Amino acid sequence: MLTDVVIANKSYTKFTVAEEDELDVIALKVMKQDCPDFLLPIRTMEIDGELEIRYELAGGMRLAYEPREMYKKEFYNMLINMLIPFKNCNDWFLDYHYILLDDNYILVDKGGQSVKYVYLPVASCANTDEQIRRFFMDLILRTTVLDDRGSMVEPLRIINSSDANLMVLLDYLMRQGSQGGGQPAAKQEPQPQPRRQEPQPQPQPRRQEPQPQPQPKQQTLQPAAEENKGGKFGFLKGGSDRGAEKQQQGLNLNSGQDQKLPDGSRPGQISKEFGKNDDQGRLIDSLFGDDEDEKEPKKKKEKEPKKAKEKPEKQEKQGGGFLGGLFKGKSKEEQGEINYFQQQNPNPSPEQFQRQPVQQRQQPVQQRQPVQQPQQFNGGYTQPATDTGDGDTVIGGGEEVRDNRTLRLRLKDCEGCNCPKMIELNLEKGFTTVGRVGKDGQRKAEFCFDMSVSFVSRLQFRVETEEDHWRVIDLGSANGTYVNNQKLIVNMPAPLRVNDEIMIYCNQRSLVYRVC
Amino acid sequence: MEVFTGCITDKGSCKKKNQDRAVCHVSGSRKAPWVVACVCDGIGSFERSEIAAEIMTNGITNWFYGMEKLYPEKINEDTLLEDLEMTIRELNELVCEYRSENAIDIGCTMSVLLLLGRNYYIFHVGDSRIYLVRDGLYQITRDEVSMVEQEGGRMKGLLINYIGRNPELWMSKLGDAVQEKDLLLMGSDGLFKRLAYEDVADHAGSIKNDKKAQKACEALLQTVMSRGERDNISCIMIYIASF
Repeated sequence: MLTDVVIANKSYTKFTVAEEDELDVIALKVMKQDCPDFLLPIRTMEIDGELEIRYELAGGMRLAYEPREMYKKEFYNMLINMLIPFKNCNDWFLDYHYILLDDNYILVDKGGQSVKYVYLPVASCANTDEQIRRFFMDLILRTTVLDDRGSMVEPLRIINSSDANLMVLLDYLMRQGSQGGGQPAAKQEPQPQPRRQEPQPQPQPRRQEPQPQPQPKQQTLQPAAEENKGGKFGFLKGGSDRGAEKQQQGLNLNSGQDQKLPDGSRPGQISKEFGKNDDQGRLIDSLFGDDEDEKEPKKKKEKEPKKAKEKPEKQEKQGGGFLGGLFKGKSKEEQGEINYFQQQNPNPSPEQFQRQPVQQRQQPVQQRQPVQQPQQFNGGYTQPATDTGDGDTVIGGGEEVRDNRTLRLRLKDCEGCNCPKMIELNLEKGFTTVGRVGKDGQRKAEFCFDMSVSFVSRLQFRVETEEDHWRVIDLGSANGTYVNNQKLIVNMPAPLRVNDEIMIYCNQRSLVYRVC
Repeated sequence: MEVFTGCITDKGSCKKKNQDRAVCHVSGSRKAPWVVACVCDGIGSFERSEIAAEIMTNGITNWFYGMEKLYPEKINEDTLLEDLEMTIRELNELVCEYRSENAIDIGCTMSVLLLLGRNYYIFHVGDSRIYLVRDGLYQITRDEVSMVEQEGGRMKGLLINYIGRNPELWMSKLGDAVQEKDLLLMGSDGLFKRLAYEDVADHAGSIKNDKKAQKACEALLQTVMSRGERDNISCIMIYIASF
């Protein structure tokens, strides 16, 4: 679906809108003319009648390359910065369901201080609320908090709770942030002031009042929705007037009344088709939960039978509704699983959550997520070495495959620094990162050069195993990483093979390592 | 080249804690000794600014120990200077990261002096000062302060640039040459508010080794405190005895 490309030494990902796709014209306009800072800026091109949207992958590192081990404060900050765009989407006439939730296309800068998403303004790319919830749950589960492992329990409990939504999680994280909990343990603090650690209250996820289950009558929808607009449900609470206005508009249109915006600038067709913030649907869902799931697809079937046939599963899933009724779409099996944890232990540990089969949880997200096409990354990069000449195993088709779980780098040349002659990178877990010890003595990368090698960034590059060879990715380093004299494009993997040379340099200082 | 140095920092007579930090390092190389000194004054209105000052001075110290092994054998003067600038920029980023991660306001001024043979180089942010004492007291750095009128017509200096303000650092870079018997005097604003040339000149002549330089620093500090200075005080002296 998304294809990574390199144009003029910059990395982009492009998305081609298929002819049958419904395009959200308003969202496209917003992104082109006044792109919010939480989205990657776009450029559009029309090629043979097909619209191509290009997103520049700049301004951070892919979330997939972020370290999995963090301090509590760092992780909470990152989560907050990841959740805020979901809250702010309404202000920009955007729908958070169309934010692409793929680790490869979420750019994180400065340890999570800024997060940028890809927004896919196409109907077929919508996430369900369940998928969004699972994405964040997986993110929490796969991260190890170094200084306070117990701190993950509460966010997990919130996100697993049957009556909570991401807004509650955001609230909780922000409250924790403002309380100043979770000082990074390793940070050096001079003259440590005896700072009294106030006992942190155990904030319970804000429980929403149980939803009444009225009969879904069309005429009762509008007042109910207006009631909710006041802040009863998740993200609506943070919505601006513009958002509320839009919600109102969407409501009226979908309830069959032919209404227009006061200024007439927004024709009703947007809401009828695609490009609306489908707030009405979500409001209905939040009110009627699963009951509505059966009715909504029927309605759509009448209007667009072809589409309904194509995506019956998606419509069913979306029916859960993110606001208030967000997690009602859970299967009974899962519900039982969660209840099991809650009943067995009111204060579950992260390990208990991890007992859930991760593969199963990730499936819905993975099914619709774009997968990077490996062949795309080879463009512009060096050809693989064919012969080592020294009897080493050669990587290539039909030849002996070398164990790629260890990468050995031999120092070839080093100017103006003292570098180790041999580096052994352990790739048993599939990847490793290389960088330099920070000037504060902190290590961000798994293998770190000495502090005096200033021209190497704290996070310079990442090496991954890829079948029978390796891939190397520059993580946005200050001076760049070169493989066989070709500068790596930030965030774009390049193949690394035996005898390849990795070089980092700045003016008169350099280091060159050869893969052996 | 023979250089004598002294370094002292004190919380002063009124403040509860010292938010200043000062370090001065001289390389052990007999062939070409070189000096790096740094004085940082934590911003008083930010409660925990000593953290910023500490990050800076620790960073400079670490940098010095790393570079001591490399200069002059493996790297030249330009590279050393370039590396110092990169280090200062990174340290500023670290202060900013600390600020945002912990949601607390911290910041400090910074004056770094690097003496390589006859040449000195200065990296300066804020209102700490570096003076050259040579038949007079000459201020080398410029205070990055803007004067604003307060209620009642009182003028007050507001710091317009400091470490930790922005991840992209705006920094003054200066450099010149020194002569024999020159004294480079560095200090926080607490030192210079109540200091005259005569005070410095009296002590400068007596510096004949590191101990004397240290004593001269202590004497200056006492002089300023006796005149009623209430702020944190830091003082670094670098005396070029001979080439």
